[in-house]
Amino acid sequence: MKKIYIVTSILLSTVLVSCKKDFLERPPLNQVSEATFWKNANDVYLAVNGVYSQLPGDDMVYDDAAADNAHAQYPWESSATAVSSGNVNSTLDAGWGFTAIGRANYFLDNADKVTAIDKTLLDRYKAEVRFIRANAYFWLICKFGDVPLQTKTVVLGEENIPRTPKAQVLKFVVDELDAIAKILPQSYGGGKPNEKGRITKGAALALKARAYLYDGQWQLAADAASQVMTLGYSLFKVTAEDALNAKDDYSTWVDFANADDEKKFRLGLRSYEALFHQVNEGNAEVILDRQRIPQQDANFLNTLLPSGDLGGWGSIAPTQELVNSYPSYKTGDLITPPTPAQRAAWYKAKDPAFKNEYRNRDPRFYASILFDGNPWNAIEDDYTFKWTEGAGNTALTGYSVRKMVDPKIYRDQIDNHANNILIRYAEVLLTYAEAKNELTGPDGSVYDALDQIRTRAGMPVVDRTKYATQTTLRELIRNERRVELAIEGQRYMDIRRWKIAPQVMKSIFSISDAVKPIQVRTWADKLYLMPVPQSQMDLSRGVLKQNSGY
Amino acid sequence: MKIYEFNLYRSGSIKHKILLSMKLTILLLFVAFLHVNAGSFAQKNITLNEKNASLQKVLKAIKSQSGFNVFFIQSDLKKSKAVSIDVRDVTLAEALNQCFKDQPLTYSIQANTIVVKERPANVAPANKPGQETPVYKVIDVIGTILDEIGKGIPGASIKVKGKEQGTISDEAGNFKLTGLADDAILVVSYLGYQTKEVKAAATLKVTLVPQTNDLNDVVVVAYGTQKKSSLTGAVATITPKQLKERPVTSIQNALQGISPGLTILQRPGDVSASATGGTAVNIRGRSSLAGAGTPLYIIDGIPASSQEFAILNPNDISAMSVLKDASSAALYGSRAANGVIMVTTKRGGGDKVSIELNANYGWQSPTRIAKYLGSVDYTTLYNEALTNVGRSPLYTPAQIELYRNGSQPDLYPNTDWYKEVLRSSAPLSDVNLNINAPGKTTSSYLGLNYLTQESLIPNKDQDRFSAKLNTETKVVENILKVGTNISFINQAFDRLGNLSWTELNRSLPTTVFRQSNGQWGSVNNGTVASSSIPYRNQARMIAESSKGSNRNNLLQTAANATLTPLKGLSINGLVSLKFTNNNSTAFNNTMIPINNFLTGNPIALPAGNGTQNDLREYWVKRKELLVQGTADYERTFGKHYGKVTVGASQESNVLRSAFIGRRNFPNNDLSTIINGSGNGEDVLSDNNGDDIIAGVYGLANRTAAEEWAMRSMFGRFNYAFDNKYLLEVNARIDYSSRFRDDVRRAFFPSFSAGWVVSKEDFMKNINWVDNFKLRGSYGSLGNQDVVAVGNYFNRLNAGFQYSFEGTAQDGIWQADGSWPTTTWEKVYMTDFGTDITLFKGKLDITADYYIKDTKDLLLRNTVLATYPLTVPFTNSASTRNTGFELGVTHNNRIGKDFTFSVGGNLSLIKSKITKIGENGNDNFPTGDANFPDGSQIQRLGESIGSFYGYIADGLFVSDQEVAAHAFQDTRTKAGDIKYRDLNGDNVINAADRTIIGNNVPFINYGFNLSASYKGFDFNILTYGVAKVKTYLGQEASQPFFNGANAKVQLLNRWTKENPDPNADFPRTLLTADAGHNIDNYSSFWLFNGAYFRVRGITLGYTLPQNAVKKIGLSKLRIYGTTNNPFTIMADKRLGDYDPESASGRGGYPGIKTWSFGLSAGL
Repeated sequence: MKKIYIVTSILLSTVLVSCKKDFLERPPLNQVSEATFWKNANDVYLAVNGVYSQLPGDDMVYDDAAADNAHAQYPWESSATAVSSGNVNSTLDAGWGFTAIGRANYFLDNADKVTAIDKTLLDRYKAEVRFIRANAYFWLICKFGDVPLQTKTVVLGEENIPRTPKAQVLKFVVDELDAIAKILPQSYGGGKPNEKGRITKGAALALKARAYLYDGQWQLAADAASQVMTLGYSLFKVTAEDALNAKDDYSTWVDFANADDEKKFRLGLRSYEALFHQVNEGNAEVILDRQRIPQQDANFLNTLLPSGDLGGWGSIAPTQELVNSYPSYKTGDLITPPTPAQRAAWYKAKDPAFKNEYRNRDPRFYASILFDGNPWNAIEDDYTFKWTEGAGNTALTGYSVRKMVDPKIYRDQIDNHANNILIRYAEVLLTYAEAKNELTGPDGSVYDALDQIRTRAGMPVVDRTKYATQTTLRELIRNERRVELAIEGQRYMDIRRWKIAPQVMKSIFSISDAVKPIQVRTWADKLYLMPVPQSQMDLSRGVLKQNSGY
Repeated sequence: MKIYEFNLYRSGSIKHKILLSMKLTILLLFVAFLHVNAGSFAQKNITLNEKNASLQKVLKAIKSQSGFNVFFIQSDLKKSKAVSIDVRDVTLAEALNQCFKDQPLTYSIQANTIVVKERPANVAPANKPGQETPVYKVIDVIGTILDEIGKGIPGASIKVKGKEQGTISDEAGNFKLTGLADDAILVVSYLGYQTKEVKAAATLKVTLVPQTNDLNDVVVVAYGTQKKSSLTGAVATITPKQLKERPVTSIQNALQGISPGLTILQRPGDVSASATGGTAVNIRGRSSLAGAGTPLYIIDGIPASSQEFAILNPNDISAMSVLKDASSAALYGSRAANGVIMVTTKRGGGDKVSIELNANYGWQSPTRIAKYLGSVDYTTLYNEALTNVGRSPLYTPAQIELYRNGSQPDLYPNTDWYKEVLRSSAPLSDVNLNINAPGKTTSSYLGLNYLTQESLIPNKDQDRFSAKLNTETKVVENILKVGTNISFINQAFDRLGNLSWTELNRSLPTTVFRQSNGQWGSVNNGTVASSSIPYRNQARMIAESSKGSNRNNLLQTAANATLTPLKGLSINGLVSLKFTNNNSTAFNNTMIPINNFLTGNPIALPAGNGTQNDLREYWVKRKELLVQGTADYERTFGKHYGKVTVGASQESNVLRSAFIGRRNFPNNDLSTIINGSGNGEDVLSDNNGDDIIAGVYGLANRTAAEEWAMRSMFGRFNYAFDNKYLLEVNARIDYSSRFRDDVRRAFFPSFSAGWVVSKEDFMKNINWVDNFKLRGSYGSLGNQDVVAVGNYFNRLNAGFQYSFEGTAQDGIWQADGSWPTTTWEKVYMTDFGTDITLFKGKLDITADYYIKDTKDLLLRNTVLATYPLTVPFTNSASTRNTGFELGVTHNNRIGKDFTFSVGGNLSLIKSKITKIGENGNDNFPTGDANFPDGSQIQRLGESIGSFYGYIADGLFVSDQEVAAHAFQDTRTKAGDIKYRDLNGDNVINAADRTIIGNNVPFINYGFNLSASYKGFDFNILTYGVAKVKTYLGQEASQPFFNGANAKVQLLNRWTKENPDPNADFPRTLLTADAGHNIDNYSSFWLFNGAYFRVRGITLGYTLPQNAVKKIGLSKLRIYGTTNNPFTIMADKRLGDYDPESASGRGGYPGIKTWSFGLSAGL
């Protein structure tokens, strides 16, 4: 019997020992408790980083494919395929999302809990966060028009918020940008917590300029742009070519007047091209970029843009219409391309005349578009683009994108980690030129702004006599904007605000066939705004109202 | 004296029993005599001529001449003298008399058997002083113990009731006992059979009945056992025999079709570290809207994961119960909402050491495999897709001709990638050794198992070793027992490469597999225009790209003690510690570029592939501790029987994982991180979410942990009156760490009652009814498992967020919403059932009707995007499942040798959402592989699993018809899907959507047949579902999806030449052009998911005793078996799709196996 008691007491004591009071208190161990956070300055620093991650990245390339600059062939990658075809209904989600806004609101609702922080620094942090929120709202109103405006953290159960009129959201955006421009510094000295790459006053003003431009408020747009133009930004330029680039032979494509002409052409091309390359990150032209680092946080541009011959997917292909918009290197005027039928016939017959239209074009053409015969030694020795129709992962139009593909990183065989430029000085100059021309017609400051862009690209300056009227200059500015900012996502709104979408959103063809389109495109005016996704309409049970036409 | 009183008290019922058994005995004897007579008429005369032959030899000759069986005990025969005999045509008796003339043995003839026994001593046992003179005669007993098919059972125990005396049967099942009182009762028992008591007689033939249909069979229930006859809940039991006859690698597969209401979806089974694969076990349908509705598994009283259950060795199991209703599962209240599957493993017992070896070897092959178009069809169909939208064809007639004639395989091949990459079959083998060792104080059971399985994917396999040791020790006879359960499982998975099904599906027939020079293929459609296409080759990826392994160990140690200080009282304690240690590695090789066949130059490797090697390594450690104590007290007062069980338990589960990774190893043969580069930049993070803890990824060199705990108290009261009226009350209180302390407690009561109608007087004369019981139960159960740990905490994520100045920066952000008052999900279940046994056990019927109300359902609602966080679990919905279950089994025997059992089961389940969302608004489930986001709806009053979309009225046959129909889309043309304009506004838009089908089968059914004839046994199991829809998207319904080929069934499409409005598929379009057909979820893409499948067939042969004996075995059975050999599907459009696979996307195929094996006893 003794044994029984021993065993029983062992058992009982085991039970008792394990009956600890906090036995059932098992907090999550892989996350930080909010109760222990928001104490010190470093907490705020970390929380700001959490909002920075919501800056947009490389997705903007699809916005050009939703317009007439490019073709996105894979419908599963983005909404651009559906939007450009015109076949849009409410099953499409064109990006109705509030994560960035939610993170920013959460930060702004809590940051003041921290008292052990320099007040000026805290205000700057808040201004940076407010920029990201304003940027997210601006993007949403561009796509959807009215959107629910929410500036406080949304509690579960209170998320069914009606749409706020677009004008009111826009006012919120520009008011915010105005307010934070007063707080944000013009530049950062570097080192924590003043790292280069943070949002600056210039970014706030430049975004404001963009917002006013899109809204057609010319005076305010021009004012904001001129403010940025006083902040010391300049267009990026290189002064020499490296050995690999020097191997590219452009003499077959351009009739150079002399060696200086060739040098001007080549440096223009290299300046424009290298602006986006990783080695030149943070150059004087960059007003805001999304920071990238190797391996851990790369972008997909080296995969999305090139075709299968360079290991890419050919997701985005330049259209013939974009190709046509590159002016003549000799005159700076638009060229007259061959008819699509003529081009296709030449292509099919392998007639050398086919290549004539690619001769003597804007250096930015060679830097941005891979066409049959474009040399690019930087990416692979002796590389020349050759379009193979129908091969896997090959662009359908006959062209491939070269701009923003980083050849050095391609050679390293890792993913592209160049910072994605979100706002650059060239856009500000173009904004100024357009707003000012609309406001007052041509004046010296308009031509100066345009000439800066042309000169950097190695192009002749604008002929001030030929483009002397507001109307003729408007066409030039619009084309210059299309060329300079190609594949950077601006075209989506440009064709809408200029109301040219009904004319330009036409079926697109490949270089080999002028009859059968590679994508049938139709336009309906409902496409000025994207639909509120049906899933959201279903969930909101009538609180959200749909855009007309859907 | 007490005993006498007891007997006197119950004399009425004893009388009744005796009467009954007398009747039965008479009946049996009658049957036996019939046989004797038949034998007598067949007698023949005997001719013998032997000199100094052994008696055994002579008897053998007599046996063969007379046709009589000869029965003897081997040891007796050893005492015999040599026989010399010379007789011609004499009677049997005469021949035998001569043989036994001078022997120390004698014989008798009983029925048609010659029984040899020792010559009886003529002395009765001497009376001991003080003992009364016995009033009985002394007899010797010889007999045979037979199993249900009339075969001798070796090793059965025969004990004299109330005495020490006893013996065990020999290899043929024979036994002998001497000097017994003629009224002695013999207790015959054998593992897996009902124990039987028989009155001693000179000769006995005792047939044991397997434990299947025994009403006195003991059933494992929550925290104890119960007699099957006194059960009031819906409990299905599965015998080890049922399991053993189906050699399958997973016990889940063995459960298939055994009980109505138990659904097992056998999803494709690749060898993988998550051994459950996709097998989904479900009891009584889906009622939860989140989580799979997995039942609770209890192995030897200890909660187990579905993985542990899945790898349980069927040979180790002694009993299994499925607790289906609230009452039976109530004591597991908190986690039993989806039912409980209870398993008891064997522990030593019986009277004799027994050793059993089971081994089988088989081949796995796909039930169905994706069939993609060959080059000619591919190019033709692709051109058709282009011309259908007015684009120009891509492939020229000349190219198509080259594919057709196959003259240039280096440029224009016709590659069958599935054939090139996958194996057509893969072997599988399983060996078990069980040792059952009874002992005077300690009995033990040892089960060893070794399984090897290869995958259809080359160079991928698993080895699994498991051992189980159970012991039971009588510390103090009848007072204290202690036991242990120790199991160890070691699983090893190894693979080369890591096959990507998406890439395999995207490999085109026009791409060369291997060039004629032996190098990997680089040419597609005559050119090398893409550098990525050659790198898609999955055979090369397997051979050269990477390698990986998993090493998983589980050690479970448990100790239990049972103290029975008083009669009827037992106190039980259990402590269990489970320790899991898993390690997995993945090594990516540096690779050699593929050569361009046309130029001979290497093709650059794609970014991030094969330029730097790297190694990722995960470690997982889990500790589960359970401490549990229960006490039972049972008493019988006259016709009243009562039993009280109370208990408490607490459980904790602590999980910790670690990840480390490095780049740049000197070569590809290294397997430890220490060999990696010392450069800080070569520290490697992971972004795949491969960590065992959900949501943890991205940080290099990390650990993560997760903990939860539960504490419970419970009690049960059973009452029975006269074994006729049964009542049970259960209650359980649970506390879970997953909920905030003020909402942590939950109380789950339940009640059940039963009425054994067949025991009523008015049923007495209806003797074809053996058992007729009505039962009913009501109770509540809970569920908490789906809730994420930390759901009630406001928590922030930490980790890499952004980079400044080229340096990675950490950040803090809020990603998960919290809900502090989330609490238990509750199930209220009402069950009415009946158990009927008719015609002397020949027909068994079980039927149940139930209503299962699930309230406060734990659910992540889908909410508007304006709430930007992961939605927390809230108690925000209710469902009602109503179901009917029927199981019928018929056991019978035809003639002497043919026995069979046929069974059928049927389960009907109807579900309804009775509450959803805040204001009854619809919820749209997301994140399930079975259907695309947005294609399903959870709507008040509708079924769980409802598809939501347009009704398709076939296909348009002409553009005029398109124009006349309600406007759909600018792209719509003849050959596209015609949607029904539900609201008649002449435009098809979101308002025309409705519920178009359901993916939860309403009907589940199965038929089983098992039969045996002499040594042969045959077993067939089937399973079917009906009234269910399946949604197939992507590759299964869209040609050329994401650059893939098209499946052959897509050839049955609408064409201009054959504008069939009911064609299987719409006109062929590329995905980019087909949004109007595929983005709008419509009934067109709902396939009839009904199927009927033969789940398993087994044919076995047990070798005759005398043959087996010669090689020193007691038993030898050989068998062949097949799993999933045949499937009939309702919808031919499903083509190459296995109905049990999760979705129509390419993936590991459904598997059928063919195997053979043997089982031997020693």
